[in-house]
Formats: sequence, structure tokens, C-alpha cells
Amino acid sequence: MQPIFNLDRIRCLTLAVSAVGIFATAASAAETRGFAISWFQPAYYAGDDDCPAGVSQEIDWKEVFAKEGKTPAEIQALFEHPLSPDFQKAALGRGPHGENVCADPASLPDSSWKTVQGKQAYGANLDGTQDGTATPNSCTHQKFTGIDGTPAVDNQLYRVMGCSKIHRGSKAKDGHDAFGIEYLNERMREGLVTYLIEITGIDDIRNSNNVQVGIYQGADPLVQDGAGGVQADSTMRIAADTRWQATVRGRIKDGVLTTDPVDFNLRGEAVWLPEFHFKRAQLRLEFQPDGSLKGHLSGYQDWASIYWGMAKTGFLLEKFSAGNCPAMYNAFQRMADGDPDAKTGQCTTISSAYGVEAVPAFLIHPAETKGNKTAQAAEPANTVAAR
Amino acid sequence: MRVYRALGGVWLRLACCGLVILSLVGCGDSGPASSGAPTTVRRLTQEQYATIVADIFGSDITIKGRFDPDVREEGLLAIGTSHVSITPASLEQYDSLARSIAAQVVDEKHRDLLVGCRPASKAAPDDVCARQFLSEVGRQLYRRPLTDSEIATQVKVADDATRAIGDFYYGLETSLAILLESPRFLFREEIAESDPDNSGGFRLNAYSRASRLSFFLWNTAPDDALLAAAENGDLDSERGRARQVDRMLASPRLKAGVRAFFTDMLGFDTLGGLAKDPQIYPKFTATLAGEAQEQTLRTITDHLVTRKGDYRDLFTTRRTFLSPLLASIYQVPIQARKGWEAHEYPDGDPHTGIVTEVSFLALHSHPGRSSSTLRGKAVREILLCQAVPTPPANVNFSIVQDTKNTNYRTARDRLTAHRTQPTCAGCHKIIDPIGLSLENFDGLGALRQQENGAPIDDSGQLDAMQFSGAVGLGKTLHDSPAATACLVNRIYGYASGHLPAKGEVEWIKYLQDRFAADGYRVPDLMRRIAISDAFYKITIPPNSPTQANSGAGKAPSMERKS
Repeated sequence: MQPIFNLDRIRCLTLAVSAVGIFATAASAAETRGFAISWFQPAYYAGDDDCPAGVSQEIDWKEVFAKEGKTPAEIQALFEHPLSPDFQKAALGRGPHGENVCADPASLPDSSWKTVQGKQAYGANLDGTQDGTATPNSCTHQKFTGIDGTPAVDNQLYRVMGCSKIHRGSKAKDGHDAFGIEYLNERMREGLVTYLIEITGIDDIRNSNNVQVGIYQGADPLVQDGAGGVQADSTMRIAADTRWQATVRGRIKDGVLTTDPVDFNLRGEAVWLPEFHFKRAQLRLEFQPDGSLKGHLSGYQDWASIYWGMAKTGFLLEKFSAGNCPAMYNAFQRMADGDPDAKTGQCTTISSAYGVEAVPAFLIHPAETKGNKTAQAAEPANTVAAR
Repeated sequence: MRVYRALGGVWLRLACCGLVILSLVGCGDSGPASSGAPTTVRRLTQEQYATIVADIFGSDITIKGRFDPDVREEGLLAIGTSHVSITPASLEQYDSLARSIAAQVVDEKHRDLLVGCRPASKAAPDDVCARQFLSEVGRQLYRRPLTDSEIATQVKVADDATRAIGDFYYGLETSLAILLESPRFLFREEIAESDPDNSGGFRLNAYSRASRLSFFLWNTAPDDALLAAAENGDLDSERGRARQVDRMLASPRLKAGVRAFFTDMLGFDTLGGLAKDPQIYPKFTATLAGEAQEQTLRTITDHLVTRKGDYRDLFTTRRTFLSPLLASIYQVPIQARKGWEAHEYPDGDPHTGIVTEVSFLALHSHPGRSSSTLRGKAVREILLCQAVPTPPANVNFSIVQDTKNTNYRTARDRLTAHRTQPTCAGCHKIIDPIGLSLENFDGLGALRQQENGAPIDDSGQLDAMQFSGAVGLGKTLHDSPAATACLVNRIYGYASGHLPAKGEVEWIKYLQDRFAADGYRVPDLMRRIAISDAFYKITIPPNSPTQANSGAGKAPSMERKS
């Protein structure tokens, strides 16, 4: 005897609701699926040969202070209180004219930052070239080979930060145990920020030539399940502010969703990056047997924002996270590969990749939120996604 | 005068008939005679204790501690409570609780509001104030007025303690703590008296009647109006009881009573200890277990009390309430960000009735898999009041426990193989076909279409009725006379604290008939029980020391237990 009910009926029911949505005309017979991103952190591969000179280490402060002309007695006095304002001032004020090198990193040319020398990385070919030759939208740079063999992968953010002591995870954990990059992910899973994905117009979950993909900031915190993961099938509201909403065309081939390049913004968190400004970003996500998604988001980001996000902690970055403000800034400048400045030619963005996992969720567009007049005015969309 | 008296009798009868017309179940429709049963001495449940304290002293009095677990007998904790005592360890708990509550009642924050009088001196005894407070609180705690002797003892305790410490409120605190840990408060002691309408027979005395009535309808001690009705004799007649019962049925507190009954009947006391394998059911948490119970209780009280619905429709209703957490398991979107939202499943949806809610499906499953056997057994035992024998000790469960065996991919496959063992077949054939109809719900209660890649066959059978899936099971239960008869048995057992005795069988059959005639309305059934004489009839077991005409103040008599 056949079951009298199955989940497909839920999906069909959902379609009846989403039929009034903005995508209804093009997808009247198609399915909509919603997802809440459950894992989001920089995709830093941990290969054996990435950092032949080792990872970054804390600055040798005695050497710095000596170069600044301090006497051994003065240095010893500083080290008696290594967290004191005097120590911090001496440490950061190592610019040629006493500039704070985290606030004014260009004041101290320093090319000592260790960058990734390995050949493999996560990511996508963002500039369209095979060799990293400069184009109107990119600067000359080295390419990686993707972990899955994809040629000509761009991920210069990894090249800059992949040998940072706190950003480098272990190969056994696929880099997922890197404290420095886990931070955002952990805060997200604790409920600080929520990112949502909606795929509309799915004819076949394995192959659909033309789908629309929405990328949204969520208005509700993620819910943790009993196993420490993110709970699937929760109902999540899409944030009403259109600054955090984007849609892009995509396709599903052999169970893998890919999207066209798209610019969009997401709210981040204070320590890593308050706001993400992605340019020409692409999703590559594979449907998993349990209905979830797993893959990567690749795109260009304003590298200065990333630098300032880290450098604002100043002394903490250099003392406790093995950072070096001017050296990191210098490395970002050298490795930046996107969006050259029209006057200087200096690239202003850097290619990057983020690991993404997403669990099924029901999404409510702002117009559907009861009593939310602001949201209704801001966004007339009216779709509900189901897994 | 004779004429007037005769006419008066006629008018009384006419008035009585008028009440029958006005009321669905009024006087003059008292059913067959009932023998009654022996009195009971029931220990307060933790919920009853907390509710009573909140009723008397307010909900801001903190109650910290846990009681000994109750014992389920004949399908009900309410029956088990008459067969439990207080262990030395739990006595310490009661003592600690009593002292904590008494201290809060008389502290500076609460004393002006709760004590109700002020002593002439805070440092010296004040018999007038102490007597006023202790007699009033004692009446509420003991659910009857304190005797003069009891009041004098309590006032003396307060006086002595006041003198020892030089603090009137410490004296009150000490005396109140003694009341709170007295067996007369902690146990619902029933006292019998001679029945003036039944020569040689017995009935509960007025205060015991008030208690039985109040715990039945509200799951708490009698309020002041009900105690007053007991004092002035209003509870001696069906009409007098009807006035009180109708007042109580119209109160919002009826929902608490209905919730308490179904919490007991459905075995929700075990939900608190429910465990699931987090790797298999990551959505399960202790919070979910609590919300699952709340969902079903909300569904029940909304249907039975608010909508005055047919009990049988609880097995087929598509209306329920969802929290965000539960909505994720049922895989439906929800607008509410916290709290509860009414939800109605569409036609054709397999979520029909309370057996398709997480509280039933998860509770009657194993930690890592569903169980058609446990679900079928629960339907028989809980909803149909039918006994299922326990399995023999030497059963080989290896086939049913191995959910990864590719030869038996579904529960039906595994149970079919398991039933080839003759020692198992007898019971499984009467319980498995019921539970197999719910196999489209996993061990947590989430819908599924397949198990280990194999499609699930959800055909089921209950006795001669064959059906498909949860919808079919719901309809079968809806139409089952055993389900409604079970409800009557259970609710009477819950209210009286005992299984229907031999001499009560005809009365129970009558209740079952009237339940049907009343459209299976549970509040009507409760009313019929609550106002009846039969509900308060008492039999005295042979060789038992009689308590007839004993009045108030007797210690609990464990020999009087049924």
C-alpha cells in the first residue's frame, strides 16, 4: 500500500502560496526551497606545503623597542607590565615618526608577512582568466588549483591570511578548527546574524536550467538543535531592509546549484567584519541527501574593510593573534586582485571564498509578516519556501 | 397545611423537572444505584501542592524542591496516589519546603498582605492575630475548619516560638510550617459519614465531598465558596452541588482540571524523562518534550472546553497549536516567533488527532527508532483501556532492533519476521497492526515516506477494522465504543481515586450511555459525575474500623484505603 501522503504534497501546497510571488509567472509549476545558512566561514585549505616558512608569530617586541632606541633598562621596564598603556604605545607607535602602525599601516613599509605558497585552494575562477593576467576588472595575480581540480581558482584572501597563526586550521579538520576564522561562524550559530537562501523555480532538484536564487539577511536567530547543529525546517523571516537582499539567476545541474555573478551585502559581526560587501560573487552549492546544501560562496571583497576589521583591535591583534598590522596591510595591497583603482591601478578588492552549509527552512518574506507595515512597504514579495 | 405540603411536594417535583429541561443533566436523572467504594487517602501531587500554595499565598511564593515520584496504577497516577506514603527522604523535602514557604509568607515583603492582621507588638505573642491567621490558613490547607483543639495547639506553638526568639512573625512562621508539613495537608484524607438517604450506608462527609469535587474539576483544594457550601450543607443535595459544579465548570480553572486529567491519562509524567539519540533526532531537546506536552494539552482543552467539542473528534481533529520548535518538526511555516499559534492542517494531511502529535509519537517510540509495537500498545492501554501482556523474558529482539538489516528495511518487515517466533506472535498481532499505521512518522513524530530507502506501507488494523495510515486510525478510534467507554472509566477513576468497584459497574455503564447521549461532551460528563450521589457513596470494607460520623480532624487512616 502506498503512503497516502508525502512531503511532495507539502511542496505542492507551498507552491500554491508562492504562486502569488514575484517569480510566480515564470515558475508556476516549479518548486521553491528555502534554506538557512548553518555554516559560514572563510574557506582556507590546509595543505602541507602552504606555509614553508611556518605560520605567523608574535612580533619580537624587544627587537622593535631596541630599534626604536630604547635602552635595555627601558625595555625591561616595559616588559614588567606587557599589557600596560606604555607597552601598547611603544609597540604600536613604531612608525617612522611614531605613527600608530595599525591606524596608519602605510607609514611603515613591511613586506614580512608570510603568505601561502601552496598550489591548492577553495574557490572559483572569478576573473575568467587561466593565468591571472590583469584584466579591466582585475590585477595580475597567481592562480590556485581548486581542491576538486577546478583550474584557475582565485582566492587571494586565503593567500594573504592562510599562514596567519590563528587563521590556519589543521588538514585533518579541513581547516575548520582555525580559531580566527571560526569566530564569525560561531557567533552566527549563536544567533548573532542569520543568512538565508531561497531557490525559486526548481523544476527538478537534480537539473533545472533556470532558477532564481535569493540571498537574504535573516531577521530571526538560528535555532540550535539537540546535537549542537542548526535546526532544520525552522521558519525564518527575511529582514525587511533591502540593503541585505539580492537575487540572481542560477541553474542546477546534476544536483549542483551555481549562480551568475552578483553583488550583495550581508551584515557580519564586529570582530571579523561588520559588513560583507561581495562583488561578482558566485554560489556553488550541492544538494545533499538530507535536503541540505553544501559548497562555497566565492567573490571579491573590499580588502581594506577586512584589514580595518582586524586592525581595529590594534595591540590585541599583534600581541595575542600573531598579527602585524603594517605587514598584513602590505600583503593585502600586494595580493589584491580585483577592481583596480582608475587612477592608481591599485586593486581595491580581493578574491575570496567562504565555506557554506545550509539547512532547509521556511522563509517568510517581509510582506507576509503580520503587522509589519514597514516591511510591507519595503518589499512586496510574498513567497514562502519549503524544503 | 397538608394540602400545601402536598402541593409543595408537587411544585418541588415540577421545579425539579424544570431544571431537567433547563439543564442537560439535572436532578431527577441520577441513574442506577451505586455501591460506592471505600474512602481513599491520596497524597497531593507536586502540581496540586504548588497550586494550593499559589492559591492561598500567591504565585510569587517560590517553591523549590521535588517530591517523590508518583506511582501509576490501573493506568492512572490518581489511583496510585492513594497507595503511596512519604519516605524519610521526602519528609525532609516537605519539611524544607514548608519552612521555606512559611518564611516567605511572613517576611517583610509579604506579611502585611498575607497575614491579614498586625500584632500589638512584633516582639511578643498576640493570640488574637495568630488565631485569626492560623485558623483561616489552616481551613484552606486542611480543606476543612480546624477544630478548637487544633487551633489552640497551633496558637501555642506560635506563642512559644515568639517568646523563644522575641519575634511574633517567627512564631507564625513556625506554626505555619507545621501546618504545611502536616499529613492533613499533604494527604487528601476522605472521611465517611452515615448516609441519611440510605439506611446503613455511608457517604463522604461534606468537606471530603468538597475536596473530591475541587480536585476533580480544578485540580486544587476547595476555594472559599466551596468550603462555605460544605459548611452550610449545600453539598448534601444534587441541586446544591449543581450550583457549585456549574460555578466551577464556568470558571477558567476548569481547563486546569481537564489538563491535569489528560496529563495523567496520557502518561505525560514520563515525557520529562524522555530521551532520544541526538545523532538520529537532533531536533529533540528537553524543551521540545515540554512543548509537545503543551501542544496536546492545548489541543485538548481548546477542543473540549473552549469549543465544547465531541471527545471522539480528538482523534480526527485537524486543529492544533504550534510553537516554532514544533512547527519545524511538523515541517510547516509559522508566523509566531515565540509562544503558540493556532494551526489547522488541510484536508488530506496525515496529521489528524492527538495520536499524530509528537507527545504521542515520540513518547511511544524508542530513543533511536519508531516503534509500532509501543504505539499499538499505547493505543490499546491508554486510549482503549485494554491490557496488553508483558513480553516473556526470553524474547530475542535482535531482528526488530537491527534497523540497518537490508533484508528487513522497514518496521513492518522486521516485525513480520519477529512474529515468526510463536512466543511473540500472540501479542504482536493485536498491537503491531495498530502502530504500523503510524509508521509514516519517525521516532520523533516527523513525517517520512521511506525507511532505509523502502516505501512505507501504512496499512493498519484494529480488531476487525482495517484502515490506512493515521487518518484511518483516527477515524477508527473516533468510531470505537471502547475509546469512549475507556474515557468514562478513566475519568471516574481519576476523580474517585479507585477503579470502578463491582457495585459501581451499572453506574459506570449508565455514565457511558449518558456520555453518548450528551454528544460525548467531557464537561457534561464531569458535571454528571460531580453532582451525582453515586460519586460520594462509600462502602466500608469488612473488619475496618468505622469512621462514620467521625467529623473533622481525624488522622489519615491507612486501614481505610481501598
